[in-house]
Amino acid sequence: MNSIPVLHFLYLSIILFSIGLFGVLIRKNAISVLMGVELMLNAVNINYLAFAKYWNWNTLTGPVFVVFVITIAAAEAAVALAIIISIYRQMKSTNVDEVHYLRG
Amino acid sequence: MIEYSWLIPTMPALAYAVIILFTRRSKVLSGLISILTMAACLGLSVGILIEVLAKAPADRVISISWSWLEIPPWTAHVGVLIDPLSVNMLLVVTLISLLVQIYSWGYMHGEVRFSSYYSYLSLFTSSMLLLVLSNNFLQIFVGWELVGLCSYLLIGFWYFKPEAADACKKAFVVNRVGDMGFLMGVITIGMVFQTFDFAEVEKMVSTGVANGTFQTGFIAGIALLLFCGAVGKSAQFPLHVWLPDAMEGPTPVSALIHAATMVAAGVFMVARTYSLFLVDQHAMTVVAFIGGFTALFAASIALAQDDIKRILAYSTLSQLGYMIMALGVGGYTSGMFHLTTHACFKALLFLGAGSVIHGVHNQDIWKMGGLWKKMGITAATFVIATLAIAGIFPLAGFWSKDAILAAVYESQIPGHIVLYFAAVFTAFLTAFYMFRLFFVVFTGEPRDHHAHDHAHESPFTMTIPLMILAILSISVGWLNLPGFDAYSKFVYHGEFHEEVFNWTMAWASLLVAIAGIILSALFYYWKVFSAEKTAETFKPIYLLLKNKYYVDEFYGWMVKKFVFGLASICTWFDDNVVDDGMVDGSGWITRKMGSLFSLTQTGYVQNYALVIFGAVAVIYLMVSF
Amino acid sequence: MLPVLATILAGFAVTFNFFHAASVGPNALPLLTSFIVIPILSAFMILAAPVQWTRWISLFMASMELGIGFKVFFIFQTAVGGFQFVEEVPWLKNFGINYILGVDGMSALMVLLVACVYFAGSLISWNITLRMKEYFILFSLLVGGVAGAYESLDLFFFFLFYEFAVLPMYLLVGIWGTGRKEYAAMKLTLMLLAGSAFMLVGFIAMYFTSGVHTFDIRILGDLAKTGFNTDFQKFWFPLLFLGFGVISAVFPFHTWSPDGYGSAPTAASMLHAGVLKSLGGYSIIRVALPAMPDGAKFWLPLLVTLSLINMLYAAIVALKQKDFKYVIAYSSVSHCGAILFGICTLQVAGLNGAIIQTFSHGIVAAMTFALVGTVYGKAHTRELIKLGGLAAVMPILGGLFVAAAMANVGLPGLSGFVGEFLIFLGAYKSGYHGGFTIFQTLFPIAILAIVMTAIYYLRLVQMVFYGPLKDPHYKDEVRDGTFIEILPIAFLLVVSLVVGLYPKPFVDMSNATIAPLIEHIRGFK
Repeated sequence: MNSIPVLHFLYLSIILFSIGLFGVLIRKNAISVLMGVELMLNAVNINYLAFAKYWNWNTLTGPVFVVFVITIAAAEAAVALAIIISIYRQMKSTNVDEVHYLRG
Repeated sequence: MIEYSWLIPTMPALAYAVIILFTRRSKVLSGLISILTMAACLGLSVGILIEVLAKAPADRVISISWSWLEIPPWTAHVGVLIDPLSVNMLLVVTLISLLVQIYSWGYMHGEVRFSSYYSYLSLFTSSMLLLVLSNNFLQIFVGWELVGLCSYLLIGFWYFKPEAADACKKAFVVNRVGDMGFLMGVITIGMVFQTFDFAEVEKMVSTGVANGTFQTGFIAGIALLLFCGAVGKSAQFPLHVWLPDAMEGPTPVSALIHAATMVAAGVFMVARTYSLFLVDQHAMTVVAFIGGFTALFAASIALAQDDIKRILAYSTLSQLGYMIMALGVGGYTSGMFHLTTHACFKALLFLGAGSVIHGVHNQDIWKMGGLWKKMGITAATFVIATLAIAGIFPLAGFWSKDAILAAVYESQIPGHIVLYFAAVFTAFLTAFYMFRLFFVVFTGEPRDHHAHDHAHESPFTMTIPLMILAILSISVGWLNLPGFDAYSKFVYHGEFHEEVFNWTMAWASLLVAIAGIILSALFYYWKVFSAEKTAETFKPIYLLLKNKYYVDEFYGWMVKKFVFGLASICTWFDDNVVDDGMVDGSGWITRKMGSLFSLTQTGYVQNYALVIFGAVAVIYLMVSF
Repeated sequence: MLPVLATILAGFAVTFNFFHAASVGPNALPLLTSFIVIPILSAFMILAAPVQWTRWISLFMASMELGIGFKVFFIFQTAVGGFQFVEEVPWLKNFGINYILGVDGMSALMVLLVACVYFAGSLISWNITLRMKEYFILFSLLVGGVAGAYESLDLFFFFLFYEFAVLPMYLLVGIWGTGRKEYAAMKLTLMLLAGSAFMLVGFIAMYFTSGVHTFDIRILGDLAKTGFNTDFQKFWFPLLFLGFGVISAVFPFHTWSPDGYGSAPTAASMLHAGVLKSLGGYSIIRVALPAMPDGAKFWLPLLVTLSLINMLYAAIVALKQKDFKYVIAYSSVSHCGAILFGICTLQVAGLNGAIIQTFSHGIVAAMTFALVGTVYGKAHTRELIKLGGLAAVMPILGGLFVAAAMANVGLPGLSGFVGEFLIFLGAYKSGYHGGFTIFQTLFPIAILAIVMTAIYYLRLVQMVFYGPLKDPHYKDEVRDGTFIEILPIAFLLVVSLVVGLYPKPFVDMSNATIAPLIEHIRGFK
């Protein structure tokens, strides 16, 4: 594993993050947006682990953060899905463009 | 008695409070309280007179003060000043007020607000007495303003009549205009002399002028500011407009205002502050000419009026002009003497007019006529008063008017000869229009038969005061019979000096007055000439006089154009510029700014996300380079 | 009638007598704190008690407040002067914020004023029916705030109490008001808060510049010589003046006043016009003048001009108003101009005049607003064009209104005259060094304003009370004031009359503050 340079992990992470960002910014379906967010979180997770591996594995700071991110991402996904469902119940749609009640 | 002099203004004020608070329900009680206090005041005044007369002339000035307000370096006092001048005024005011109050008992019979009426009368007299007894400028101003208030209340007593409501407002505001000059004068005095006391100011003026601390022109300026007040209160031109309208009040009130409690205040004040006026001849000249002009001006207006009270009102203006003129030419004693005699016969004239109005329920002289037979006492007393005001020997007016004419003739001010002839001509006019009034109302055939049949003599509560005043109108002048001179030995300014009665001048003016009466009789009694035709011939002049030289219209136009015009502009400015422009405008700007910035709040989550990532990118770039 | 009188007497006696024994000596009861606590306590009691007790509680507590007001007035030692009844409790000592109460001659008068207006306001609200409980709670809180503002000697607490008073006003106008009440409530509150923002900035500037980090007015006032240099004063004085000026409706920040008073319920207008508005002039004398005399002198020409505009302009605008209450509101603005004019003279007479005028304006404005409210309650309209001849159906109220008008006009014998006279005396003195100055030149304008006041008040009397009865329905429907309506108005009239007839104790009292202040200001330049 040591043979793979750290840069490769970062490339993977950037690609994953960009795909996620693309999904968040472009997709209209709320579920797709949520998936994009998950992708971005995972990209961050890869970064954490890669850096942890190459610099300092002993303190476990990176892996612990990753565990937290996964946990919170799960919780967030749950809440977000719940919101999306109630929005769907209200508006019969999960299109994010139609949900702009907070417009000034 | 003098130590109780403070009771004189206090008692009627208390009577006012008692009537307003407690006895309003009982007419009899209220009236009695008011009349009895006034009688007590008269008694006290007579007591004071006796006591003062007993003293040597040098000791006749007694001043008592209490501290009212202290602001270093000033101490404002309330005080009592007893001297011949104030004793004279005390007697005039209390006597006339008492008679008017007795008279009102009959005149106001059946009035719903009888008690209020008496309470106002009490307050009115109380204010006037406060003014008269004052020993300092501040207190005289206080009394002055209170007199204004009471005149407002009494002129507007029948407030439901629109004319009365207008007249009382007019009286108060016009007086207020003059009063502001007075107030500025009082404040200047307080400023310059650091005291308000008459005696101290007088002393400082005389020493200050002697050693050059004060320029005479400066003192004259102060005197003229004070005189503004007198012009307002004594209804001199150009602030005379309120007095003729003041007849909207009940007639006894007019008698009170015209004879004792209000218009006399201006003359009294000039007399009281006489030493300030004497310093500079220019001030005196202004005073004399305003007086002289008013005398002639008002007399000419009176020629063409039809309302019995209005004619009397203009005659008051004219006679007040006489008094002011007398003071202006240095005739201190004659001016005050005329004030005293005039108080008697003018009160009599107004009360007589009231008696007539009470009888015929009308004020237009052309609806009266032949009332002599119906109202004997009223007519007899009225003719006495008319003769007195015309200046017929030996009634009161003769002595006082001739003293004034002599004073004008002998004075030193520039142009006094003009004033003299104006005064003599005024005497002629006075005799003419007063007898016009008398002939039209009391002689000839009745013009309105309904009113005439209805007419009746007034009850004795009204006729007794008339008779008392008639006796006074005849006899008061005798106080100053040549050689006897009781009055001029009592009331004088500075050093007493003997005045020789000028018989030539007296006969001349008597002839003029008789000429006026005869001319009047030719027009209105024997009807040799026709008044209508004369009026037709001189129509422009007649209209000018009948419309009082259009002064009221001019003032009305001024107020409407300037005051209300300015008010409209300011209101517009306030509504549109200050309120809608600045205040609501700043709110509008805030709201607009809000809606401008709220454009960034699209509500689209993805927009926000884009902005966030864009911002992160920008920050990254900024940090890296 | 009898229960009301009994309640008043009982309330009055409780504080007036009880504190007599307790108000002197080292263990004296906190007279001033109780003055703030009583109205606030009243609010809590009303909250807890059944609704039918509301007005009785309010009346009782207001009478107690009146007792304390008179007590402070009577046992204040004029000859001694300075701050008396001082209470100091450390609060945030490290930041120099302490709960300090105390009254000197000037604020003792204001305490009396607050008590009188609170008492009258409680009575005039007797017939409120809409949400009575809430109304009285807010009203009592308002009084508590005002009372605190007048007694605080610490700028922090001064500010706190002031804000505390503004907020109930918002609700009082917004809920119990008439006409465009929401608009008026918003306008009044926003403008006053904007003004207080300037004030707060000024306070903080003083706090930091002082070097000793304190909000104690007594200390800040003495710092004028050492702590605040001339440039500081020149910069900050206008800001403070602006803040205080908005409170007392200085031109062009006066428009909250007619709209606010026009819409506010009677007792709220009384309290606001009578007491809260006077806080502006009061604070200039209390805070701005002692701390920044040089600034005041520098800006004097501008201030004099503004105050004169206030006097004359408001009087002229009042002449054209169509609403009964707006006339009174503009008249109140005009009178506040006179107060500012008196302050600008920087003379013993002028400043005393300003304080007496503040007191007088408080009493008289409250009386006039009470009358307007009562008449409105009977006639159901305030449009001048519809009113007329009301004296025929309500002679007592008509008579009282004439008295109130005369007090406003400045008739001798009533309180208005004393203040105005002293202000003019001071104004004249301020310029009198032989030559003419700005004051003497502008003097006739001030005089003109007095004449205008007479014109618009008499116009008002004529339009509302004189003339024939305009609306014939009034003949049968409208009755004269009842005992409970007349009582507060008559009470205020009596106070005004007392000041007018014998002003010496009042002037001596205000002079106990002013004479040292003038000495202090003279120390400069």
